[in-house]
Amino acid sequence: MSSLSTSLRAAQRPRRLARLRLLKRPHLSGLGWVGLAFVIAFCLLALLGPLISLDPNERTGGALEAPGADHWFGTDDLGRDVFARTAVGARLSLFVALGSVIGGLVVAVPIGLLAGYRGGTRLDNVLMRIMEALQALPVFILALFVVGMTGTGSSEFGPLTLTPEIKVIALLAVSFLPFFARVTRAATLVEVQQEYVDALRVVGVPRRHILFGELLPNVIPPVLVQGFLWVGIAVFAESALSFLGLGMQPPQASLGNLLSDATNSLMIGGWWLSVLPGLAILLVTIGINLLGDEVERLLSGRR
Amino acid sequence: MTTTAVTESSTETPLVHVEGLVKHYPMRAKKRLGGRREPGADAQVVHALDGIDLQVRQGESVALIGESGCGKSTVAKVLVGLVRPTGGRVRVGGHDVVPVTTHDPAARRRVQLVSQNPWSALNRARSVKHILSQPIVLHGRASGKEAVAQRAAELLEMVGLPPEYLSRRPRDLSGGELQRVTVARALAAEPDVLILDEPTASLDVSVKATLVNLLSDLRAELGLTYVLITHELDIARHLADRVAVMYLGEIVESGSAEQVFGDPEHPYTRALLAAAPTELVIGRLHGDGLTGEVPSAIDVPTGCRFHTRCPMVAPACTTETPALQRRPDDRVVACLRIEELVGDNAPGTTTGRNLT
Repeated sequence: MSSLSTSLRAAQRPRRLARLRLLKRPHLSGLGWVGLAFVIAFCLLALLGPLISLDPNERTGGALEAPGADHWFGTDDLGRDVFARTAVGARLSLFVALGSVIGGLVVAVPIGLLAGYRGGTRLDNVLMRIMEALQALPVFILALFVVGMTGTGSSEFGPLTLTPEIKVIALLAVSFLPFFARVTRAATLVEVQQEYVDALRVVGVPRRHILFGELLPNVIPPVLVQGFLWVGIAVFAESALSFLGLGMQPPQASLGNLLSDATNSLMIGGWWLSVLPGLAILLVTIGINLLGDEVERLLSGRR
Repeated sequence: MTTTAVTESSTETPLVHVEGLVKHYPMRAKKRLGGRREPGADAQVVHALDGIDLQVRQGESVALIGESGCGKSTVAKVLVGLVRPTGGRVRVGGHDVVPVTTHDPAARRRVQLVSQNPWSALNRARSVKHILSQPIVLHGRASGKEAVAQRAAELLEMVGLPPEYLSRRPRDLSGGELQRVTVARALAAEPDVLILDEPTASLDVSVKATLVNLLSDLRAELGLTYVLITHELDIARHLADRVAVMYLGEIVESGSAEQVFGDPEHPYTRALLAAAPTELVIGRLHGDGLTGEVPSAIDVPTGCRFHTRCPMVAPACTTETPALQRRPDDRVVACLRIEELVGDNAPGTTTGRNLT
């Protein structure tokens, strides 16, 4: 038994080393590195920015000061620091985007797995038709409806308090469901054709375990790539909702709010108010797309 | 493995008992608006199996041979519970076969399957250790991490692989090694019957030989019962005690391996043996090989199903369905003209290959 375990350990060692090496220097193409740099820059802005900046909601300078040493991104028409507001807005966008994608995945992956496992059956049909019905509903119409019903601020449902952030996360997550479920189902349909699924059934492995223990690890890589790509879309969508006044409400800063406020100052020369938060959105959207494509390429070459 | 009571009863009744097994797959019928089928319209079905009888005794090895599409693999799927039969009765160890969708560990343990393609029969995301531990734990063959790992290592040793393979993943193994692991997984549950569904079809010739030897050694050591599904006659000859020849969802001849391979009686068996690749004389079939394609299983020929390709066809064959009849040497054959064919060795018949 001891010789068995030592030989086991010996067999595992080189693989662990190989995995470490992969972590040290991933093989990315030029565009992949650009994407990675953009994403890291955005994350630094979102995570470290609020720590080193001035108070985003206080008057810390004169109105409409151009970018300079005191105010890196200038000030807005009320004299608030735009860097601080952009950083806080970026953090909020990142939180909402990650929250909605993770929320969407948590709900959609089991649906897609089940639909794919029972591919072609009535259950598959029902689940996917529900998903398509959801997809047919544009997220902005849904948002108008929900916000119109519940108001723009926090609303309370019994013990639950729904802040605007939670509402936006839920709205986006629901609108992502069909896409995530469809990718999961497609990957599962391919995987279920493999003979090992039947072999596991014959061995007597319970269905729940086949789905989540055996199929999920093989199905999840393309789904995660898809989810990652949708983080960029989620940042964009959150900004759009806030821009339209359906998401975050002033004075709370979000990237969409900032752009919406900036339209007033654009005609009087305040270019930094729209260009700099706009650049932040551009940065993360392009970065995530480039990096996501790269990860997809690496994963597809893995097999 | 089995209690004495079961062993005693299994000497009287066969371990695997298939009676009148029928499996028809419905064709997707054209539906009217409203989703209901036209009243009176006959739904077309694929006749995968039409009344199969099969008995396998404890410790016996029975081969099902036949061309592709004759329903061999459907028998395997029915036996393990992956496919629900349309009719007939299938019993293993005195119990009806339970479909895999029903939770019944005892039923699962009785029959295990080795499938055709080892590359897809193992989950590539999981280690060999995990793959082998699953049946051990599920069927309570060992408990505790150490004991399970040890049992998994034993199983690997049984199929001739070193214990280092426990930590490997399927992608690090060759086809032959993978198939050994699938055999080990099937043995892990300690089943009463092992269904081998074309176990060697996708392997190299040399690997094939070692796997066949392994299977025959395992059977000798552990006293296993095999149901071997194959189209490779050499494999069947090597592994099987008894052989059943299938054509279009029916058994046309069954008997001991020597009888069927040494002196085939049914015209289909003769043609099948004559068509085996080793009998080819550079581009020419030795004797009467099989000509033409297997007829459609949707629109099966009337009378004897083999009459469209049979070299000895008589007018009666197109209308009269031959029943399986017991021959003097205890084999069963379904052929209307069997008496005259065997009796006076009619012209145009081929003798099968000798076993020597």
